[in-house]
Amino acid sequence: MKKASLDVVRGTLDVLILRALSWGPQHGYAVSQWIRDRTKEELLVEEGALYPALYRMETKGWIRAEWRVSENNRRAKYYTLTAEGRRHLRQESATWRRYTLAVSRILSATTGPGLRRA
Amino acid sequence: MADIPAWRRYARFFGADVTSDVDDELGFHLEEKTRELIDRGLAPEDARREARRQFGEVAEVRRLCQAWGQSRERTIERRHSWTGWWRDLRYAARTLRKAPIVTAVAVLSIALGVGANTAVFTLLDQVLLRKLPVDAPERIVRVHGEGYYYGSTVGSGRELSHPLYLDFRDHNQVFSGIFALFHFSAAVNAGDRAEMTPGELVTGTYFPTLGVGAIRGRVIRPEDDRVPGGHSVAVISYAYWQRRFGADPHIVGRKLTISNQPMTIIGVAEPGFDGMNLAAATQVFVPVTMTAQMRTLDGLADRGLRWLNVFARLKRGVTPEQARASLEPFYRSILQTEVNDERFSRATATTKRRFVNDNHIGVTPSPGGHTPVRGEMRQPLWILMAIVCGVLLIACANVANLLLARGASRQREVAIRLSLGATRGRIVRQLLVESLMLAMAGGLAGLLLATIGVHLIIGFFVDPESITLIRASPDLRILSFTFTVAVLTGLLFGLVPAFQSTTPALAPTLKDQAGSVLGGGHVRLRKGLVISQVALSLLLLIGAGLFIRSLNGLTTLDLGFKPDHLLTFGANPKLAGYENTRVKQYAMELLAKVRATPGVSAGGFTSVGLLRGGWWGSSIAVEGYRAQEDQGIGSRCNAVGPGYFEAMGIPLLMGRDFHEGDFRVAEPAGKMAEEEQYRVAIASESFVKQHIQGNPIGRHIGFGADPGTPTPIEIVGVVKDSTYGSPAEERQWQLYFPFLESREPGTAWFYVRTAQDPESMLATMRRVMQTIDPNVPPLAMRTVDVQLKRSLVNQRLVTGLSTAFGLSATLLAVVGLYGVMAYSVTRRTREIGIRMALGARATRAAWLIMREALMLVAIGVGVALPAAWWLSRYVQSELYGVTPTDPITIGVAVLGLTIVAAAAGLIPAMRAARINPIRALRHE
Repeated sequence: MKKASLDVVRGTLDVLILRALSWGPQHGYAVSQWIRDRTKEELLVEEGALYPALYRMETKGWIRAEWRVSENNRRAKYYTLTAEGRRHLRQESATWRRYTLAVSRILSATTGPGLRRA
Repeated sequence: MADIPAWRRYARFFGADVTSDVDDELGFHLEEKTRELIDRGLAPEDARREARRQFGEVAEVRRLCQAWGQSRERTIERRHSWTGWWRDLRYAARTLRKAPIVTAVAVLSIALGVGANTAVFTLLDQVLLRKLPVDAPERIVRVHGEGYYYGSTVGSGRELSHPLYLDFRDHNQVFSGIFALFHFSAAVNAGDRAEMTPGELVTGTYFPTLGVGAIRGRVIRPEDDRVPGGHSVAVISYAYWQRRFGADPHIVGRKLTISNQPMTIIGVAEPGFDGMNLAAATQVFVPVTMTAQMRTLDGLADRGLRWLNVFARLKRGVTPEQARASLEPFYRSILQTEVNDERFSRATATTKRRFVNDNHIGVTPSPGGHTPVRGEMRQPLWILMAIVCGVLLIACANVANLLLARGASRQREVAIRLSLGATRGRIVRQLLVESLMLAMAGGLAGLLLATIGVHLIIGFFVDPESITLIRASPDLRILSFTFTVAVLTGLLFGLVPAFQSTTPALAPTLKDQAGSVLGGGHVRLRKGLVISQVALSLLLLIGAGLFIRSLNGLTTLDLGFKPDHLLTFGANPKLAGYENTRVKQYAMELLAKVRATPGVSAGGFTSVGLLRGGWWGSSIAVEGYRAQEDQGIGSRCNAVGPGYFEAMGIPLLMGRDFHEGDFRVAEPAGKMAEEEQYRVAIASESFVKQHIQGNPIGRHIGFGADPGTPTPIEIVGVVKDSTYGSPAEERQWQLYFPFLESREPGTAWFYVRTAQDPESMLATMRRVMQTIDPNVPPLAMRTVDVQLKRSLVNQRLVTGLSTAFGLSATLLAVVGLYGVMAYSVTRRTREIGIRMALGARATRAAWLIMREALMLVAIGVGVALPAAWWLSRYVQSELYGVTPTDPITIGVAVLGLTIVAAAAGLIPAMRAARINPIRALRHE
């Protein structure tokens, strides 16, 4: 499954994780699978990179962790979005949309630099 | 896949284990991934490899996660512990407030212990322990005479003559420097008015040996100490420069007069140096060669006059004993020369032999300079220090007792908290916070008390004329020491409930009533504490009682003269430049004016002021009385003006008072020997009784002790004995001579009898002196009552403070006793209830408790009495007219303590009597 993939920037990963958790508490493995499935494997997330991000965000207070029993009866650490995390997610999503919009506008531009429509 | 061990779940109660959490989490991920890949059809081996590949660097991820996790744990821990302490503080404040009496008594106990110790030590340190502010003060020694001496001495008897000082200066290998000084009263006039100020006559080696320099100009140097009368220069202290001269920048070279002699200021000494007497700040330093001009002693060349205080700085590595041994042979050779002097012409062979053989030189370490007041204050201050140590012990015992009692009543609380899952650490911390809070409050109150105490003591008891204290703020070293003692006591006994509560089984404590699990050890400890408190406070009470009786004896003592309606002041016209004849004329004129003042009924004057500690003593030869060889008659002497005895109310027993015919105001022509200056004398009753048989009137005496001493002075009268230096000293033989016949009259000390309150006449007396000559300042003007109080200042200090401390200590001890007895009633409620149910009367129940209280007191007294007997030797020297084992004092102290203690025991006893048997039994 070799594929030309995009490396994920750190800030981006945070948003992806927070988004994944916005549907409800999940453990790290589920989060990683969800991201993989949603992006159709377009974005290459080295799965291990997920965990330091989770720990960092827990320290920042965006998510909360607790040990629970998983669907197949295993002990797993579940992460829940906190109110602060939700706020952060909203903020970041908005920024992302503006950013991608701006970039796509440029990419779909019909006139080059130096020229101005009269 | 290993199962998670069960214990790990419990381990998490002790805080998160970050490492295993991370491992668990990552392991879970890899296993799930592997399983998924197997489900998709990979071989297990390949699945595992693929899972790891997709995961990335496991080790690196684990490291990062652990780092984040640990930093997070630390933050949480910190936050929890701070909120925990704050909660503990609030809880402690609440519990302390809930028991206001216990809290107040504990805080007061600590405050009293800390405050009293700090106040007394602050005083003691400054008066007794302070060292000279010079380099290596421990190498400063005093070189002094010891043993037998023949000749005149001015001061304590340890002084040396000026020629002897020069001998030592020029012939010794043990000192890096040696100097001499003499304290004198300098009348400094900077062009405005004469001001009396403490001065020192010093040798040229004084400043160089001490290593004290000048901040302006220069100090007195060896070249300023060569020619008698030839060096009209002075150095002033930094403090005097600041105060009197407003830190005048042009001070060097400024002219002024000292004792009417024109002098030039050559320098200002370094700040902080106030001369060799640490209790009286010297402000003026003058070369010793100016002694005659300073109106002090004219004895630079006199080998028979010992008046200089000689000090030296030991060379490095030389001990005082080595120095002494090195000086002794040289000293002996000087004595062998001196004994051939003219002044030994009438001395017996024994006298001469003793002069050479029993006369020694001493070398004593003197890092505290020359501070005579230390000698008389040493014993009283150490006694006070011992007393406040006793107070501290009682206070600590009290705190211990209170905290133990509280601990007992809180055992249930502690047990409940333990059973609810509180850790032992949490409970210890809680109690720690409480004890610390209590100790802090006590310490702060103690600091306050010490500050007030120091000011009170100085204000009430320290004579500003004899002691200058540089500092009135509490000493921080002793404050922190006593505070630490108090805090440790608080901690030690405050934690007892925590330790006790963790040992016994919880269930019985919870079921039972308060305290019943406490073993006998606990009660015994509390009783032991109370016994020691009772014993200590009894000791303090006995001490206070002895001092009260002693002071009472001193103040109600018959002084031999009437101290009421009497005021006194000094007048020294020499300070205004008067010569001998005019001094006498001035004294007579002042006396006449004083007597003519309305409200004055009588007046007189003397050359030595009474009750001021000064004296004039001499060996006396009595016609027809053969003293044992070399056992001369030592008598106190005084020169008095006309009408003195009448003014003082000293009855004339035989003969007559001095009259006009005895006076010789004008100076006789030619030089006159000392024994020729007086022609008549009046003797005290005891002098006559001891030395003269038959009618004393018309018998003759003379100055001196040697056989063949001329006796040209005729006794014309005999008066009753009276007090001379201090009411506390033994009555002295006394001889009076006519002031107006004195060759070298000095200060005249006036005694004025008034019709109304003498206090109101002080201003009038000042005005009278002004009208004669404003340049003659009144010296130490006050009523004789005040003077008497001042002369007893040490006794009053010890009596006042020991009484205050004794009473407060007793109060503390009684509170301790009350606490123990009250606790005892609570503890024995059921027992007493059973007894009453079985027919015991209420009085019987009360007696049960009273007996216990009285037993404690009895043991305390039993311990204290032998201790009192043993300690008595240390206070003996401070007591007057009462033995340290005075049965009345001890009896009163024991009785008083017992009564107060019984009262304290009565309250719990009454409660025991009111116990309702039914309720007591249901108490179960």
